Amino acid sequence: MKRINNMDLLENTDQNIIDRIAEEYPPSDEDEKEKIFRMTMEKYNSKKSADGYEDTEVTVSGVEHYRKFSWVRITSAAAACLAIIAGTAATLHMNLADKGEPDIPQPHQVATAVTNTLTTEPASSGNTDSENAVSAAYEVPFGKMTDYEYTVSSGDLPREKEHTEDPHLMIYSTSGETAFMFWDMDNKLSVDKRASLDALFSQQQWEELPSDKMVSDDTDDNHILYRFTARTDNTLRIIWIRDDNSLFFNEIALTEKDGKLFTDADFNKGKNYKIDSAKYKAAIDAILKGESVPAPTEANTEPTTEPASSAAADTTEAPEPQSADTEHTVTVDTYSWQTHAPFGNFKDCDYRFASAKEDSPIANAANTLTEPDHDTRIVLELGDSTEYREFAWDTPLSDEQKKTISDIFNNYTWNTTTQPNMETVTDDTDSFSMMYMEDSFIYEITFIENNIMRYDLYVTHGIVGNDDYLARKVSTYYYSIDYAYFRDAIAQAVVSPYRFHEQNVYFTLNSDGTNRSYDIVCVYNRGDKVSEERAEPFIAFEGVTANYGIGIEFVKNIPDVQTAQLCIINKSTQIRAVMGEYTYDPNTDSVTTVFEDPQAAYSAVQ
Amino acid sequence: MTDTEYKSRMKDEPSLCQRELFDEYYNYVYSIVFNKLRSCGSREDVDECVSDVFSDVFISLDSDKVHGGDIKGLIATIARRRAVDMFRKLSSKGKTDISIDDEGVREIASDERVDQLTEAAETANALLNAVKSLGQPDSTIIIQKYYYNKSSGEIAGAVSMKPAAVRQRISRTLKRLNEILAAAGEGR
Repeated sequence: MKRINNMDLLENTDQNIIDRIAEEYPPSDEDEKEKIFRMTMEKYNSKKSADGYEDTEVTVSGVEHYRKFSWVRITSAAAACLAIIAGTAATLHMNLADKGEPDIPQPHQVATAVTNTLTTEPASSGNTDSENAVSAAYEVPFGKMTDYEYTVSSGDLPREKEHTEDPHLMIYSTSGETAFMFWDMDNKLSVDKRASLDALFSQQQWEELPSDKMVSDDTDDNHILYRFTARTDNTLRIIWIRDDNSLFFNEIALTEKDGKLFTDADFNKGKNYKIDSAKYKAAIDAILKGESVPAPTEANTEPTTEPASSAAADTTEAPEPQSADTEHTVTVDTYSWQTHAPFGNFKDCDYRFASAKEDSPIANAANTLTEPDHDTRIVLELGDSTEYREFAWDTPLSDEQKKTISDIFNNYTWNTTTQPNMETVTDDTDSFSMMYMEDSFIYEITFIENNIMRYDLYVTHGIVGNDDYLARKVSTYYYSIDYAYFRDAIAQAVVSPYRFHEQNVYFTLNSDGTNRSYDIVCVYNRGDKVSEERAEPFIAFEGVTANYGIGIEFVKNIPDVQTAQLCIINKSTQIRAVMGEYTYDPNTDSVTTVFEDPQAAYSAVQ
Repeated sequence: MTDTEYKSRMKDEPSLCQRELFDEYYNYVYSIVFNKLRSCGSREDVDECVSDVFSDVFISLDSDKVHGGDIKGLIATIARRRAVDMFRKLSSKGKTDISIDDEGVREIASDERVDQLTEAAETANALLNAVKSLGQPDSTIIIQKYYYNKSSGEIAGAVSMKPAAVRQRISRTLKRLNEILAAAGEGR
């Protein structure tokens, strides 16, 4: 049997096939196209200006081979810096002195979020208060953020941008052999946010880590959660929040010559300090989103946070959630607990059920919500072994369900505990877990029958196999809980009046280019074309525009009855037209859909 | 655009003219090059070759030589030759020499057969028809994924979906394609 996903069949075929592919399925990568155009013009100009060009007969024999661009990632500098050989750098025409405003960055989830939130004024107590408060707290070895014009970016931003944009800053080594390029300096931090960060950083005693104790490999970009970068006339300051419970700081001296910046410093010869990465990430996330971060109000306020320690060894009890008007010291430990559960505000996160023991109350209540989607798999690297996690992408929780569960979590007093004896957890132990992905982070909360909730944070760093995410664990926290309470409360929250979420129903939208929502949904059964309009341009779901169809699986809740009607509905779920009959056979546990006259129904809603 | 038209426009607006030519024939050239190199070269090799083609085209059109007629023929010729050159260059890396005295040399006497090529073209057409019957955006996603070897993240940007949704879609669409090919007798 031929492999249907083997497009080798289209390879080295005749020109008609190639023409057809070019016309029907163009490569559609604008960034790559622009890159190739730049390469083309460089080669063209190079050849044109070469000696003897005018007298040289241009042939198309193709015996001439051009030297490739040699992009070489520097072996020791991480993430924000790339080194290129000087000759190549010269061809990039990146003269900082002549450079105007930096390019608008590529859209990126994290970057966009940060940019958007930076425009929101935080409800902090003001710069002056913050400075006073900071001065009363622990001394921060890398100085105050408010003293410098720091920019911020997420850890994976430069990698996304490095081949598509000019860097924001370029620094040459004094020897002239290498150049360090920064793509992460376009999101400036407001003074208020820098003050909030000062307050945050001043809450712990800072302990320097010997470089030989570092867990991270400096060459691995994926270890950086946040980058803060500030440039003055003669220095560059770098603060990286890493995911291995360390903070990296370096200050590099710069000299300027002929409009270019030079340094003889080693970008990696900075200092590393011990932090709790997960908690810092949560706190910084909140600060960047403009959430309130009250600074210490008393000059003699004692910071309450102990130096960050490993999660497993953390036996301190979690503080009680405090009311909004309670004046309190914000610490790294308590910050993210003020308004929501330690693993985030559930209603703002797109958590999905990842597992539930068969026939458990949760599984019975949530029904298909707990069926993992085998197509969205995460391969977790756990030391020498791997484990798999699977998401149920098909079956999101409703906003109402998320709100209910969020209230359950946020009103609970979360107490950390030591790592339990996992030998007591067997296959017979009742448990359920939920997962949530945002950017490159995966959050997993697992409720276990022996009254433990485990909160794992993973970071993805690649795609393997059949598009599975490759991830590794960043941190694990354990909380002592009342399992029966959560099991029953969540089961009640997710209990569904529907027997099935019909997954085998496709749809198409009308061909009216002005109707850009899901006002008219033409049910389309997989494999059976039901309307001629499908071949025409139509509009995507929820305002996403395209001149061709964006497929959205229309998941329709099916009541726990044996028959139901498939209908065209509008945004208010009002029925516009009946499409056909749905029949569930409990004996075979299968579904049959019969479309009566889809074309007539489609016409009825025009 | 003809050779004469191009040269005429090049006198007034050279940069704009080159850009328009590039935009008009980029997909065409890319498809020719990619079709030849997709199994032996990297994305960078393809990019390199496509840029070689266009720089050659520009140089060729700058010359006094008159090609006449539609430029598309010239571009196709340059693209095919460049792609073959690159293919040979990339393929030669892992090859060893074969002695003329080897017994196996008889088996490499001919590596192209008209009947096989014809059958391959029919099969390719059938596959493209099956893919097309998936409808959009599934057909685009499948081709971008398995023909152009794009990642789900890259495809997601092109079809305005989230990568996870693209991954999910790919798996389901493959099943549908399986069914379509099986029904058409191509899946056996």
